[in-house]
Amino acid sequence: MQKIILKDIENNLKVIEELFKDCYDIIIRRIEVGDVYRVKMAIVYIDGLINKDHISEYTIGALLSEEEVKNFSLQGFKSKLTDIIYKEVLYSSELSEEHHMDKIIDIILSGDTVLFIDGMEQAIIIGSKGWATRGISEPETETVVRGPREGFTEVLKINTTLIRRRIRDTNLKITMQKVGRRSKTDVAVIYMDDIVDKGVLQEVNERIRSIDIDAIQDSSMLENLIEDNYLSAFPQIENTERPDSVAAALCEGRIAIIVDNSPFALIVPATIGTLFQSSEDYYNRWTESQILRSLRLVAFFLCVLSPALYISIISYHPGILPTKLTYYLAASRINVPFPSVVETFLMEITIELIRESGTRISGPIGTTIGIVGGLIIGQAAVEAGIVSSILIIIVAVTTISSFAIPSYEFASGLRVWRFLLIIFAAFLGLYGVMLGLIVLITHLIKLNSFGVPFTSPYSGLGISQGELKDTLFKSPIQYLEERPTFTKPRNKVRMRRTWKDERD
Amino acid sequence: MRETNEISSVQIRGLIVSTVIGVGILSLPNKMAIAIGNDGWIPIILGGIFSIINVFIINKIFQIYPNKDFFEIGREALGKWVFNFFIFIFFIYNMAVMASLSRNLAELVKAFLLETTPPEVLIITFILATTYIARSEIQIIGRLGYHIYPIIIVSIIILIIFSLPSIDYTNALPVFQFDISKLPKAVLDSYFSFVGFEILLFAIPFAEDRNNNSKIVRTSISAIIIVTIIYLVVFFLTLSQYGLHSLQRQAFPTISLIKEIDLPGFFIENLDGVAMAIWTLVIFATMAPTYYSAGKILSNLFAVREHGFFIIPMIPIIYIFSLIPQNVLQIETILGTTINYLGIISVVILPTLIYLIGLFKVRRRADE
Repeated sequence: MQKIILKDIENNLKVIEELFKDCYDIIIRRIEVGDVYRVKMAIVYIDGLINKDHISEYTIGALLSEEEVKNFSLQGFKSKLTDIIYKEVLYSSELSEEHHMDKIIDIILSGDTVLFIDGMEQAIIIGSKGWATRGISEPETETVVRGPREGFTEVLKINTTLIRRRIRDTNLKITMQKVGRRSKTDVAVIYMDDIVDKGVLQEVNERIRSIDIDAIQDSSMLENLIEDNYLSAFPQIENTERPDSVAAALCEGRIAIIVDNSPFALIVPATIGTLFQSSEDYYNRWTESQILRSLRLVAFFLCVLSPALYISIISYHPGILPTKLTYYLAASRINVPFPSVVETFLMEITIELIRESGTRISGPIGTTIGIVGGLIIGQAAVEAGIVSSILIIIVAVTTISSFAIPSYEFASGLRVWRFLLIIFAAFLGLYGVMLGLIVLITHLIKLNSFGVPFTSPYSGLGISQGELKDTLFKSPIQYLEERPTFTKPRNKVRMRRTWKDERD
Repeated sequence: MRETNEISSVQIRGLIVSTVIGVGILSLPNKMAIAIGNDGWIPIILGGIFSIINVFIINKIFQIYPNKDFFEIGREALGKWVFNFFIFIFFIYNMAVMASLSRNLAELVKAFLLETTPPEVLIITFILATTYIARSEIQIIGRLGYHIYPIIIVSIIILIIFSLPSIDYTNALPVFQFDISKLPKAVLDSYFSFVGFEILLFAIPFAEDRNNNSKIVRTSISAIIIVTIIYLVVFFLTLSQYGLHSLQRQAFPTISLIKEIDLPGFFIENLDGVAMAIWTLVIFATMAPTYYSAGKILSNLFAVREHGFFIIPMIPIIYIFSLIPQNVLQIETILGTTINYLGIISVVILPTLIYLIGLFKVRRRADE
């Protein structure tokens, strides 16, 4: 393949035709312009990726109708033709020149239109990206009662616009990289220039740059490729569908990564503290948010521990409970033919099946599955006497609490650990649960997210600066005067209290 | 990757508290009652003061030799062979501590949670669970200490709140009735409930504020004071609950105290099982730094940079050590005595020697 484009238009087009052989979506439109001296031109684009109206009306139409182009003579046109076309003919707002052939190929593939002119060593690039997209709609995974209802879409440009609309500051930087040898996916790294910690930013850029893969389909693939410990069950990068969450994170000095074709933005660094925050916490009254925060912490422990504790209490330490409750438990299990471990595994697997089939088939059938699975199987299992009714309650509470954790990935990590703890409990009772917890705690505190301890702020860094005000607790917004310190922001002060509130 | 191999002052405090508090919190009241009677608080306070002096000396070492780690300092001060001998004893001491910790844990878990499980299984599973963290660097150990620290504090507060109603303060009286000749032995006993702070030898070179030595001194001393207060509270509570004679006959009075707690209308009736479970975490927080230091020492003796390499081979040694005692009593007589002698050499004599030599060298340099 030739490196740069040649003066002879036919050679250039031959190269393109050769490369795009058997690609039915490539369109090469040849035109000839000029009354006196006819110049061959060609417009190359990929069908479907461009705005056709724009090209036919403002490029081809303009070229064919412009008087000056029609009338130019042999004299001096060499120096002037591109200039004229560039400056006077084309109506497009995005224009540039390019003479490297491989770059031109990339540009065609990304949805812009290229105009070749006979006798010229440059091609003109006309910005014409425009394809069928989904409109901005409410995010499906993070709905709020109160707060903005916009969610990201699959188009990078719309997503960056949604953020730009929220932060109208020149310090909001959006840098672009391409990832994937074949997919050449656009990846935007977004940060606030005067707040972000440059070390983390450099690390993020380096990790993205070092990716060598043929294609990435979604931001979750990028997440797996750049996170610190890819073997872990827990995500070390936060993801969100909400532009307001991203804007808030940027103002905390964190970095957002948006991948083209994915409605989920990534936010780094992420910690346990931030994974337990939901954007609605900041829109509700602080009292409610505080209660919800504490509830999520309870949900965390219920989600990992409750089946394991059930097994260890039933099988090893019934004496821990009050006598009455022990009798009641024993009575409810009197018909159950299995040991508690088998019973728990049966029920847990059933619940996971219901969950999985419910997500595969959504809509009305999904609801049916929920009803059949949840209600009928549960009821029938108890009546048939293969599981105790207490266990049904425990499994249900466990599943519900796993949904109370804002980060879905984190909750699914806990699900995996829950099964490990069940096995530990089955072998060594409460002591086994403790050993399992020891391994879990060790794993969690060993995790890092871009140099930040994953367990911040509970890791003992930045406690003195009042980090707990927005993680374990949710203080009223007036008390959150400083940005969180785990991101090492260069500009610490978030707000100044000018208006004295009257407390009494 | 940028490694932030640093540990903050708050973490150091948590690390010391969670490392020091281990078996001692369960057995100390009994030991004190046997050694000196009602006035057990005096040796506890004295033990605390001696530990503060010890911690102060350890801090001073790093002030005399700034920007060096413990091994470099030791080599420089004592010479290669003497220092190697000392840290070999230090290593054996760590192994004995770990063996005693895991054996004690196994015996108590067997007594309160799993009556029929052989202690060998409990010991080996506990050691295996600890290897995971022992392979990591000091900042992870620091984070661990900081996570266990609030658990300890909250548990103690809960213990105080729920046991206050049932105790009889007059049991703690009379005071100042002790036999002065018994004091040194009692102080020594209480002092060994404070060891564990030697993790400072490995932590200070990585402290965030290593250039601001007075801050580390302050946090580490405050940690020892917190431990002293916890010990005093536990001693006072158990003494008031049981009286001297009953206390002298209970090897682990703190657990009995927890057993007495009655929570009417609560979900849980017998708190001793739960307390054992939480105590497993506390022992883990003592075991992990010890394991880490043992690994560090070995890696240094063999001049290998990664200490994680030595963690797995240590498992059988700890396991065999922990099975030497035939019964619970022998844990104290065999392992406990070994720990005491080796501990004096490695925790008291070694830092003091380095400190004195360092001080001497500084003086001489100043004279020249």
